[in-house]
Order: sequence, then structure tokens, then C-alpha cells
Amino acid sequence: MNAELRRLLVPRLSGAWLLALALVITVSIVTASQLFTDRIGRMLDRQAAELLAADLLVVSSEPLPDSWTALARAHGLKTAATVSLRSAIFVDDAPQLVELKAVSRDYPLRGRLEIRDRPLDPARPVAQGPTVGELWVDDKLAALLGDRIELGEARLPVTRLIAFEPDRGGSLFNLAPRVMMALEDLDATGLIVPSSRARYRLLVAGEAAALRAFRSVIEPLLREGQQIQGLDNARPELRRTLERTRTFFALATLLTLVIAMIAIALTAAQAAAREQTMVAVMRSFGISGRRLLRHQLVQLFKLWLWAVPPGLLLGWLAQFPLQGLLGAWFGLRLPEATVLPYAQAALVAAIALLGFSLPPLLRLLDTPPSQVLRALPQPPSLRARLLRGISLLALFAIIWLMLGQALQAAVLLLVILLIAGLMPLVLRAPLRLLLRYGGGRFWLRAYLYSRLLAPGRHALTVVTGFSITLMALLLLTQVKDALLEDWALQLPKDRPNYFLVNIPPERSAELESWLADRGISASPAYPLVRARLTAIDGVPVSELRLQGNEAHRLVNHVFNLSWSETLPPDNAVTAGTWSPDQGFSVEQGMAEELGIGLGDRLQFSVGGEVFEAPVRSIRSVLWENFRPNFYVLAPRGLLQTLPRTALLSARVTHEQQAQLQPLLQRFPGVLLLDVSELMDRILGIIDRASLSLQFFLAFALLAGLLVLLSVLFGSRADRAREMALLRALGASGRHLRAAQLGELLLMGLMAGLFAALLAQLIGAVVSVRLFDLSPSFSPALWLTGALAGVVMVSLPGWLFLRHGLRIRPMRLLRG
Amino acid sequence: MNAENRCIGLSGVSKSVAGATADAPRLQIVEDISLEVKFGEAVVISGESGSGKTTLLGLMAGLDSADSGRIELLGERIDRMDEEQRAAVRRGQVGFVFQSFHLVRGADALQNVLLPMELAALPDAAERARDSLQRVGLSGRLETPVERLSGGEQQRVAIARAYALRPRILFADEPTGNLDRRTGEQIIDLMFALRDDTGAALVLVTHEQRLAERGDRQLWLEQGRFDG
Repeated sequence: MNAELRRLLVPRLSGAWLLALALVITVSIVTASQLFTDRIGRMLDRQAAELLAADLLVVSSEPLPDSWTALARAHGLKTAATVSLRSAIFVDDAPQLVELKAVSRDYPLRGRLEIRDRPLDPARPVAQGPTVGELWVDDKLAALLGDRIELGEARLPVTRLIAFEPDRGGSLFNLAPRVMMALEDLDATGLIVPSSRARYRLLVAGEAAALRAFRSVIEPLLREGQQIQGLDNARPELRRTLERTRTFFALATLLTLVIAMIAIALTAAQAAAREQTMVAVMRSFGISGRRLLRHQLVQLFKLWLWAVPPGLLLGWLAQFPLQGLLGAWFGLRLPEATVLPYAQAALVAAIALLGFSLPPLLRLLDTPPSQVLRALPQPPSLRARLLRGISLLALFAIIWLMLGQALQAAVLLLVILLIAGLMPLVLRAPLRLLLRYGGGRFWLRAYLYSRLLAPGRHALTVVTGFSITLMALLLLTQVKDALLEDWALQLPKDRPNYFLVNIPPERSAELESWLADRGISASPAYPLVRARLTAIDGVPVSELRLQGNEAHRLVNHVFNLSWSETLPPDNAVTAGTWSPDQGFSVEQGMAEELGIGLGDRLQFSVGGEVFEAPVRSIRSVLWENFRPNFYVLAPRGLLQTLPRTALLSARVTHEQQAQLQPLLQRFPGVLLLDVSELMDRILGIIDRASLSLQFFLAFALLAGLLVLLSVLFGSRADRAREMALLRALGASGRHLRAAQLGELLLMGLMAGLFAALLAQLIGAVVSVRLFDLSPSFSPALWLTGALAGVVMVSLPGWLFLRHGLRIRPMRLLRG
Repeated sequence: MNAENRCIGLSGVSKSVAGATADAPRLQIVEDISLEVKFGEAVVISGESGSGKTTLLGLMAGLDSADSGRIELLGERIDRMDEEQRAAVRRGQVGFVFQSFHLVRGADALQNVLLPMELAALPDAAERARDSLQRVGLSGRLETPVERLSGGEQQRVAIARAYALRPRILFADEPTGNLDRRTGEQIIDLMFALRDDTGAALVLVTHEQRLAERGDRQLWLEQGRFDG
């Protein structure tokens, strides 16, 4: 680069490269974390979408207008359609209830169907469903393979067995065996009549923005009996997992960003401090403040120009290890990211650079040059405090930008400020006591006292910064562990893999003991009555003022009412008392959505018969545990007179599989649903989510190291001078090592312990408020905090500083 | 001068540094210097800026290594030693007073004086430190952090730090450079009084002729060589 070009492009700021490095890393952290959140979020959505067979469903009890399909296509979305209804076929001259599903050519849009050509063949994936003129049935109807069966007025051959259907299992307990056909054949069956209660589904998949646009157009057009199902409201067993993973990503991104901001604030302050002599000299020569400010702004702009592209590139590259990891593991490619993360990162860098560089600069322009040149302390002033407000505003703007919510950003900023303001004060007292009156070498204590507590060194601010960094890491670990533990609890090793449904109630006790005799662990048999909610406290549901899709879905839902003498596993009463014979027990989420409270009278209807009872308890339900779970548990007396079946879940080991055939012979009519395939898929999603969480943790760790290195870098001149002084006064290498290590160990220990304290306090709040987990005191957290602090500060610190031990004391004479 | 009385001995000592241009790859700072200093003697080295005074002081004190020549400090050949060994020779026997004081910030006056004695594991360190600070007139400021002291007071702490060791040699590099004339004279008085009390050798680098005249011997350095 020629001299003129260099003058034009290269920023003239002392130590600019250090600030540039902090900026590069900040930009890459923001870019990468945003890309991760963006892409992992979309990958999780896609995985979950495979269980919906689409990204979005429009479900209706009557045929959907063709114009809606055209509208989806006009938005650039792929579409498919299904119609499902219950019907009956004859097997060995006995009627058999089946779930008939007619699918269009493009079904499924997400996930894949898997079929077998013969029973016991390995399953193989296929790109689309049955073609015109054939039927596929699930394994339970394997005996029909090759037969032509009558389905209404049509007679079609069974050509394949369905091994896996992505969107099966929305209502696990109601499944009759599946019969699948091409949509084109449906009319010929003559099964679609007004009383057939068919469900029409329009499946839609595509880009998130197009989906949002489509949804916003369709939603106002929905009538009663029609609803939109997305990932957010479709599958209760997945919903909580996805929501928590997203919340965790948001938390991780934000905390990583806070760490990055600490790094940039520290390096910007250091860069400004290095500039102060030059600015004072220029002021002495009569250069105006305005001109100097302009000069500095130009230099900052050049710095930004230099730092942003490599930062974006690094951030972009950082996603490949993740892609490699996930891709190799799961054979998946992450979806492409949008341009937004890059723009956000560049903007964050600009705000941070200005926000943290301007205040010290403006303050410097306010200070008489003689004060700077004679290194006199600058007295605190109101204006100086006001100038610091610029940094706060910048920080607020950045958090706001990332969070998208002003109030949350303000609360978070307040918490950070409170910690940053109080912590040096809290740290000072024990450190002072230890160094003044503790044991050990006096010279070492005096040296450490000077390094850590001397005014103007801001060592405690640095420890605070690092402590917040560590706290963020501990918090992420703690929350991650709590989440994983929670998931692990939900999915115990002995989780059920079969549901037995359609059990005649009079034979449920016999079935229970039959299973027990064969060592098959099973849940109790729950009675099952299908009922519609008709009124709450005398108000018909059609007159309720409902808000949100979920509420609409619930009132249109056909509930499986059950009864249980004891509170089912993983249920907890959150309000009222468990009194199964005196009224309803309602699931907490449903109660919140529909505004149901204790004492409210719920009215249900079963085939025209209406009954009602008061609500006696509200329950939390762990939907993800794959056991029979119910929105509403009813008094036994209400259900006994109504038509009902029973269901139970069971854990059938590989060795016990041979017992299934005798079971079906002994209890004809009982349907056996194998849910292990579905569970494996859901477990896969949880695995992926936890892997992503760990990856995030590594990223936050990197940001923490940057903070430490920038701190050590910033203090290297001071440190070198002191090492040289100790050397000149006769300190041995051992003395120098003791001084450096002592400082690093003490800093690490203090940062680690206070980080543990903060993580414990904040973790309790976060666990309860964001993740619905119980807070817990964790001695391991304190030990981890202390150890992590010591190792994370000492190890890189030592590697970085040990060269300084070779300092020549001649430096002292050279000034 | 007999060997027992010799405190410092330099013979044919040279030192160069990398030059700024390709034409002059090496820049000679000190060239072929020979010098002996005996215990109790005050030697003042003067010269213009860039004449090599500070480099010479650093070589004599073992703060820097020479390219060639022989350097003896307190009876030890330090030119063959590494940094660690040279520090061991200085420990507890050599005092320094620097132009920029070089005190440990945040630590008080007493802690600063104690520092080299602790490093040398000398007995009665606290008592000697207090005596030393009293000797330089700072008995009332023992626990004052050094950055709250004036420049003159800070230099007194530096002298007390050197004095408390009862050093056999005191090196001073422009000790009055950052002080006003009156304070500077007080500081020089103190250093000479310290020399008289301890019988230590004093090697003083200064460019002030007025101070140079107080030495037992004055040496004028010009372009790395003694003049005359």
C-alpha cells in the first residue's frame, strides 16, 4: 500500500489494533450467535415440522376453498392436502374401525413416509404416498396385504405396509389402524357425506416470511371449525422443548453479547487512555476541540471499516464446525441463513465503538491539557457522569436491537449496572482484609495490594467484568444442565413404547393383570370418554371471548375425559385440592387459555348427553413423558354411565415382543400402537437441541477469554514496568512468577466465587421465570465457579504473561 | 586499587544497538569503557543527551548486558552471568534511585521500602524500613499511599527504599530530573548523607553540572567514550 493510501485508510489511533481485534471478535460473536440462533432455530422448526409433515396446517371440518391453496402457492409456498375420517372395513367378516387418510401427490411436505413391501421387511423411505388405485395400511392390518378390500363403494388392493407416518400421533390414544389412499380415489368411495365428520387439512411449507404472510392473510378468513396449526400449537409434547430451547438460545446470545460488550468497553477505554497525551498536546497547540473530535471520529470510522469485514467473515466461518458436527451426526444440512445477522453485527459494532469511545474522548476535550500532561487526577464532575450515559445508551440500544423489546432491554441493563456498580464494592472488602492482614509473604501481599486495589488501576472493575463473564457461563451451564436433567427426567429409560387403546372397560382389570403376570410394566388402565366442552360456568363456548389459536383449538377439541383415583405420574396440583370424586381436574395451560378457575362449572356433551361438575383442582402436566396425559380428569360417577373404552401405556422390551401376538388374540379389538419410532424422532430433536446448547457454551467461553486477554494486554506496559522494578531490586525468577501467578490466581478465585454467587441468585430467578424449573442450591456450582475462575484466568493469563518475566530491568532506566 | 577495595570494575566494555538505517546497521552506545569504583567513593557520570550515560549505569548495575568487555560488581564477574544470576548479586546489596521514582502504586510508603528487603529476606525489615523513612523525614507518612505524596516525597521514599537495605552500592539515574531545584538539592544531600552513613559507593548519573561537582570523581561521557 503506498504511503498516501495508507494515510487515507489506516486509522491513526494509538493501539488501534487492540480495539480493532476486540471489534472483530465482537462482530464475529454477534454474527455467529445470530446465525446459530437463526439457523438452529429453523433447523429445530424443520425437525419438528417433520412431525407435522408441514410447516403450517390449516385444519377444517369442511372442505377448504381451492383459493386458499392458490393463495399459498402465490406466496411461494409448497402445498399438499389430506382428508381424514373414520370408517370401517371388514376383516374376517368382522367390522374394524380404521382411520382413513386420503393424501395428495405431494404429501408429506416435511419428513418422509416409510413403508414395507412385506411384514418384517426393513422400512424404506418413499417420496410420496399411495398412487391412484392402491391402498397402504399400517402394520396392524398386515394380514390384509395383497387383498382387495371394500372401502365404502370402492374396492382397492392393499399394496404396501406403512412403517412410519410423520404426522401420526397427534392424538395418540385415538388411533385406529391407518388406511391410506390417494386423494383422487376418495370420491369413488362415497364415504364423504355430511355426517362423516371428515377433517380436511391443507399442508403448507416454505420460507418463514412467506409463511407469516400467508398466515396473516388466512387467519381473518377462518370460520368456526377451522384453525391454523403451527409448530407453536400443534404438538404439546414438542412445544415445551422447542420453547425452552429457543429461550435458552436467546439467553445465550444475550449473555455472550454482554461479554463481548465488556471486551469492547475495556479496549475502547484503553485506546482512549493512550490517546490522551496526543490530544492534550494538540490542545496545547491550539487545535480546536471540534476539529480534534472530527479527527477522532474519522479514525474510529476507519477502524470500523477495517474490523467489520473480517468479523463478519469469522462469524460466517464459525458456523461450519457446527454444521459439520450436526451434519455428520444427523446427516442434515443446516438451512441457509438470512442477511439479517450480518447487518445486525455491523450495526452493533458501530454503536459499541461510538458508545464506548466517545465518552472518554469528550471528557478529555473538556480537561485542561496541563492536567493531562502533568498526569494529575481528573476530578469527578457531573458532566463526566453524563458523558458516561452515552455508553449506557449504546448498551441499551444494542440489547434492544438484539432482544427486540425495550422493556426487557431496560431491565437487563439495570441488572447489569447494578451488578457492575455494586460488585467492586463487595469485592474490595474481603480482598483488602486478605491482603492487609492475611498470611504469606509481606512483599507479595504488598505487590498484590498494589495491583488489585490501587486507585486508577480499575483491577476490581476488571474482576467484575470477568466475574460477569464467568457468571454468564455458569448460568448457561446451570440452565443447560437443568434443562437436560429435566428432559432426562421426562424421558426415563423405562418410558412406555406401546399404547394399548380401545380396551373394553369391563376387561381392563384383566388386561392389567395379564400384563403384570408377564412382567410387562404398564400404567393403570385409564377410562376414556370422548366429549366436547359445551359451556363454562353456564356460558356456551360459542359465546366465550377467546384469544389466540390455542383457545380456539381447545374449544373445538374432542376431549378424552378420564378418571383416576390417584394423581397421575408427572402431574402436580397447582391450585385447589386433588379430590377425584368431587369435580373436574383441569390442566393448567388449558385453564389459563380458557380462563377456567377453581369452582367454575364445566359442561361437556357426549353424543347429545350433557353433564356438568365444578372444577376442584388445576394440574400441571408433563406432556413430554409419553404416558397417558389428560386435559380433563372427571369424577368417576360421571363417566361410569357413558360409553367408554380404556387405554394404558406399556414398556415392552425386545424379549417381551413375542407376547404381543397372544395379547391380541386374548383381547381382540384392542389396538396396539408402537410409539417407539415417534419417540426416537422426538428424542433426536432433544439430542440436537442439547448439542447446540453445548456449542453455544463454547462460544461464550471464547468471548470470556477475549475479555481476559484484552485486560492483560491493556495492562502490559504497567506490568512490564513493575516486573522490571522487582528485577532491579533483586527479585529472582521465582519471585516474579509468584507475583504474576498470585495476581492471576487471586483474580480468578475472586471472579469465580462471585460469579458463582451471582449465577446462583440469577439462576434461581431465570429457572423459575423463564424455564418453569425449581431453583436449587448447588455446591457444585460454587466449586465449578472457583475452579473455572482460577483455571480460566490463570492458564491463558500465564501463557500470555510468562514472556514478561524475561523483561530486562534496563527498561526502567529507559523510562 | 586493590581488589578488596574495588566495588565496580569495568574493562573494555562496549555496547551497541540495532541502527535505524541500512547504512548503519549497528549504533555504538558505549565503546571500550574501562573504570573502577571503590567503596565509599562518589562517582558522577555526566554527558549530553544520548551520550550513553544511562546505558553505562545499566551495564555497571547488571541491568543490561554488554557486547564485549569485562564487568565486575561486588567481586563477581557479572558479564558472564544471566539475568537471574545478576539479580542475585544485586539482591540486598544494591540500591537504586530512579528519575521517575518507580514506586509501587497503591502500596504505602512503608510497603514500598519493605519490598526489596522482603525480596532479599533481610532480618528486622520492618524496623529498618521505619528507621529509613524517619531518616528521610517521612516518619509521619508511613501509611500514606505513595501516589498521594508530592514528587519530592516520592523520591525520598525511593531513597529510603535504597537506604534501608544498607547497600554497598547506590546507583542513581538523574534523581533530580523530575524535581525543582530546591527539592533536588535536598535529595542530593540525602543521598550523600546515606553514602557517608553506610560507606557505600555512589554512582550518580546527571547532566546538571552543579550536582556533578559534588562527586569525588567526575566523568564526562561523549559519544560512548570518556572524554579526557
